[in-house]
Amino acid sequence: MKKVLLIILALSIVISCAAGFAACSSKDDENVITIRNLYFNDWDGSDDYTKMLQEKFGISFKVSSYSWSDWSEQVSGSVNARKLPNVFQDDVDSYNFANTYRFYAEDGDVKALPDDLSKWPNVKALIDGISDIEHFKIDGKLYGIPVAKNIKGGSEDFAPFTYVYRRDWALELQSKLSFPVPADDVYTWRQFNELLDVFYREKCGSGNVYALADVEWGFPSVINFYKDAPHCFVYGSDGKVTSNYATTEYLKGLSVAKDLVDRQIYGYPQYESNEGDANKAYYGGRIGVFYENLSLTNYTTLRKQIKNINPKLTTEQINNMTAIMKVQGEDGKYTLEGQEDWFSMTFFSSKISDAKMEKILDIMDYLLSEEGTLFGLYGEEGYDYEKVRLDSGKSYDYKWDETYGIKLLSWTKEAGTGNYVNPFNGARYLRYTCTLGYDIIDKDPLTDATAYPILKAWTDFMQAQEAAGRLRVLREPAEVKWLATEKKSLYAGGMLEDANASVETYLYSEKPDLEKYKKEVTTGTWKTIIDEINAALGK
Amino acid sequence: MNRKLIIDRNSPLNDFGGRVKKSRYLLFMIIPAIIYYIVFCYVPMYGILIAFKKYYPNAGIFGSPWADASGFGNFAFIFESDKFWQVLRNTILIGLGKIIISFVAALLVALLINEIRLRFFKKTVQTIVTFPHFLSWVIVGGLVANIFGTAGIINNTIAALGGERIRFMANDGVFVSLIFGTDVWKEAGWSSIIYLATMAGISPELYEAADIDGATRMQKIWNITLPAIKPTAILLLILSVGGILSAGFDQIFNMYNSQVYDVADILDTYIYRTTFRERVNAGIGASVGLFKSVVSFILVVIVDRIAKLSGERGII
Amino acid sequence: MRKFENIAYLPLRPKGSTFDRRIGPLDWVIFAILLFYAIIIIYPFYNALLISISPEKVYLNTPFLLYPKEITMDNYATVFSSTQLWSGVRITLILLFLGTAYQLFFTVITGYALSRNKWIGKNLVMNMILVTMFFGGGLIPYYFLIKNLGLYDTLWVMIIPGAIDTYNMLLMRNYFASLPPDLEESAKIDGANDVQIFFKVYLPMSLPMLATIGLFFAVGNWNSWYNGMLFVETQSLKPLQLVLREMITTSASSVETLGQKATYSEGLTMASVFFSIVPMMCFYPFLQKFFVKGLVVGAIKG
Repeated sequence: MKKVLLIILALSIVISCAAGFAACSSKDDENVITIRNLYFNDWDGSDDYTKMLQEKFGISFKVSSYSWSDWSEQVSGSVNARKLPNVFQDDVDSYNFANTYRFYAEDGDVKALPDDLSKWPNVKALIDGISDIEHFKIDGKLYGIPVAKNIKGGSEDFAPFTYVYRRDWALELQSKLSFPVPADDVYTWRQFNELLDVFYREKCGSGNVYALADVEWGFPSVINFYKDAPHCFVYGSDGKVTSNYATTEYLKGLSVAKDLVDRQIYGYPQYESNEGDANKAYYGGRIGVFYENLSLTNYTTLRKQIKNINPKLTTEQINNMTAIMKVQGEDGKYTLEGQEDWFSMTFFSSKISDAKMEKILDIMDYLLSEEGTLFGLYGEEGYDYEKVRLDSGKSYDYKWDETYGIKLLSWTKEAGTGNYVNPFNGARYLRYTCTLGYDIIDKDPLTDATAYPILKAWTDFMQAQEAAGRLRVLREPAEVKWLATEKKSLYAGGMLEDANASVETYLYSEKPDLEKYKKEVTTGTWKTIIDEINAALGK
Repeated sequence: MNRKLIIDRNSPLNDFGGRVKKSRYLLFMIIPAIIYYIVFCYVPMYGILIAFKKYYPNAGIFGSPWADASGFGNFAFIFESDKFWQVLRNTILIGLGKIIISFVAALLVALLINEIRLRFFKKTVQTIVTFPHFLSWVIVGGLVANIFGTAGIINNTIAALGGERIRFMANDGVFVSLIFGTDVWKEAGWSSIIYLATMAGISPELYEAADIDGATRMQKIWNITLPAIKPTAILLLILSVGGILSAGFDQIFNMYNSQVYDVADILDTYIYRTTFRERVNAGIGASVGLFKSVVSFILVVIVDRIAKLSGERGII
Repeated sequence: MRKFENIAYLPLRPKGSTFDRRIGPLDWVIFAILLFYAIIIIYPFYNALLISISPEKVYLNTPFLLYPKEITMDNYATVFSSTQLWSGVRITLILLFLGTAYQLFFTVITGYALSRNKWIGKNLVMNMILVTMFFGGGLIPYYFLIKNLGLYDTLWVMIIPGAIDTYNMLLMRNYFASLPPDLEESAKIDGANDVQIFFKVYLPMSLPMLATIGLFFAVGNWNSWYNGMLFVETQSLKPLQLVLREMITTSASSVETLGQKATYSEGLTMASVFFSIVPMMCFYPFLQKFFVKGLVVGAIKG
């Protein structure tokens, strides 16, 4: 009896396996495009602008969003279950490149873009503008669109990871400084250290206020001035790839950092800090100099938080509390980390028809064109905004280009803050599938007007320095970065985490063991991966 | 004549139809469960194979190639890593510690509450102690940092009194105690509910009889209350052993920092850290899961045997 | 009045007996321990409440407040005015009532059936269930299953797969097995069949346990977000906890979010925490009336 039941059980498992993997693939509806993107939380696709787009292209959209904290799990889940939306966005970077982009392409989950993109000139220009695009091509085909930061391709090739500081404290303590507080916030290395010392002596008495702190993932930022590559791998003097964490330059930076930690200048307990804590401490007035990713969003948020806490502050005062510092290293040069000119990638599911893909590309091309951009940014011409010729003498809100400006018509402002209210405009959201739109950010009514000029001034300054050869941009060699060998793809991110943990342990221990640290960042998995990389590169 | 009938009736294979008929109501009641477990647990069970394969979604499970080393290559990823044994040791120690400590704590809380006479106070305390269960570890982690962190209350007091701040959260011993302590704080009250419910079913006559015999409070607890909840307690203990390798990912993830990795890094946090951005092949995730399943199963069987030896029912 | 009744009808009671109203020293010790325990639990909640009604600058300066220095209802206003939140509440309420009843029913009858001895195939079923507690196929085949059953991106994906929770089912089984066997025997003699015995005899006697398991399921449903996170794409089907989770984590990340969201503050987190736990905290005291002594005893006597 028992045996009979067991046999029935086993049979049912086998049958269900067969049923399971011969999974019915539902037919893809030609008239609906399903899109899942990170930025679609607020928008459900029911607004008028979406309707206009749908009418124009004869298709309808079904949209949903990923949540930031569950993004990778949701994407991998739908890939593994073979239930992908027609268009989806994945968080691709050099660490998971092999396990996302390459994996999807090799497994046949995503559809390759057509070889000839001349029918969609705007999309083509966008893609050609991505500097690393050749590394993405597998057998000459491209399997996804990197979401470009700027339409015209390329952006500043350095990331805005730098120091924001309390210039108001510096002005207050001017008498204690041996140099005048620079109006342009340019500090030599010696001046930087002196400022930190003064902050520490004057402000950090109770031990709850800190002279220097970093955002959690950027610790220890001072080593940037010494090391030659941003993360794990760098070319050694023998032409071979080696561990960035054990180079002479890095170790020099490490000793500088250790000195700062020991003297309590780097007093903030970085290892205890969770994401967002250091940021809070800065706008809570407990940090003097703070290393952070000063993207427009973050910088605006920082300023908003400060204003929230003390609504009586003037813009001038807030500027002094969020001044951006330009610090020179010992050699007089500035150092910044390099950045990609794209963030995350948009993929097309392999189950869509060629006709559908062409239609989606048509829509993207439209949204990237001038007409589409205006539509996405402002709304309907004549109703939401109107074009004003610059030489006509009439007033306008934004200068669009050399010949005309934009005057907003139907846009409403929020009562308390005076900021424009976001009208749900499907075109605006759909643009995020191909570009983040950084190049039109100063023309966007939803951008905070006070923060942007400050960041722009900083960017211009740094670009000038780069042109003059006084800016070092830390970059991982492209051929190493995009190398997708087996073990590297498996371990690279984990190595980064472990190395950073080793650095933290070394910096905070009472009895620092340099040899142990060096061993941790050169042997074991490190050695295996580095050997693998060198072998693959033929060195 | 009579003897033959008796023999026949006792023989299991002979009266199959009759036995089914006798238990037809119960069989009827169990059908939903059978369907449920087959559909939701046994049908997906073929996924265990993924642990032995390099899984490619479009090839499906049967089309994907076997992992290296005749299928065991995925396991190599975890076993070969430098930190595996240390991490495993941490997991077992923390897991075991938590099981014992939370078990004892839940029991103690239930006993203490049960002894309250004043109905108002009893109900109030019973309600209050369940509150922390509803907080997520993200919040509790923040709370702990606000108290024990370098900029937390305790350190602020120390600094105000002129002392030097102590790095509590970086200290291995303190940290492990905090793990156990916060686990008790958060869960003991909730876990005690089940014991309180069982205690509510104990007949007051037993207590009355004990009073007549002149028993002290301790004797009453030892002889009446504890034996009454013993079956439930043993069951819960055995079941919790099954979870030893999980050891509380949420809690540790939200409380730990790089300085205490040596003692606080458990299997799940280690895997999370090393594979988070990489989006590794599904085979590796599955192999970790299978490893945990096998070990938990073995442990539960062992504990169950021990429980049976002590006279209890056990679950297997 | 009761007190005198007892004395009149029952024999003289020794000191320290259960009915003695005098409070001894051990009682004071118990009182002190529990009071301390209650305080260390209440204080953080009280503090969280204060944070949720305080403006952020107060929180940044004093993470542990004793009394509200300044009050602002902005955080609650933000939470209550979010339309997505109310849609989440609606979904979670459906899960709560429908889901809890559904789960309770199936889990309890399975627990009862498995607590009876000597029916054909019992051991096989029991072992079959226990194996599933340890071994599972993982998410990938589960995804296929959900997809093939047509449950993907529907409300039912958060209800149907929860039919029986093995852990709670074993608790129920244990409880039913611990009830005196004479109950079943005497009912059988009266001619009742298994189903009747279950509904008329065992079920009424298990109210404390049913209330407990019901509470566990209710809390589970109220807090449920994982199935929603994996299988639900449509915004209007997302349960409350998922919406809250997204509300807080999206605003908190320091990477490009592009959404012009309200700035994240600890106060907002605490307000949303309270929003989600207060209903549960109020629900529990109602169940306490089921934890009444003597319910089981009475039935045996009668």
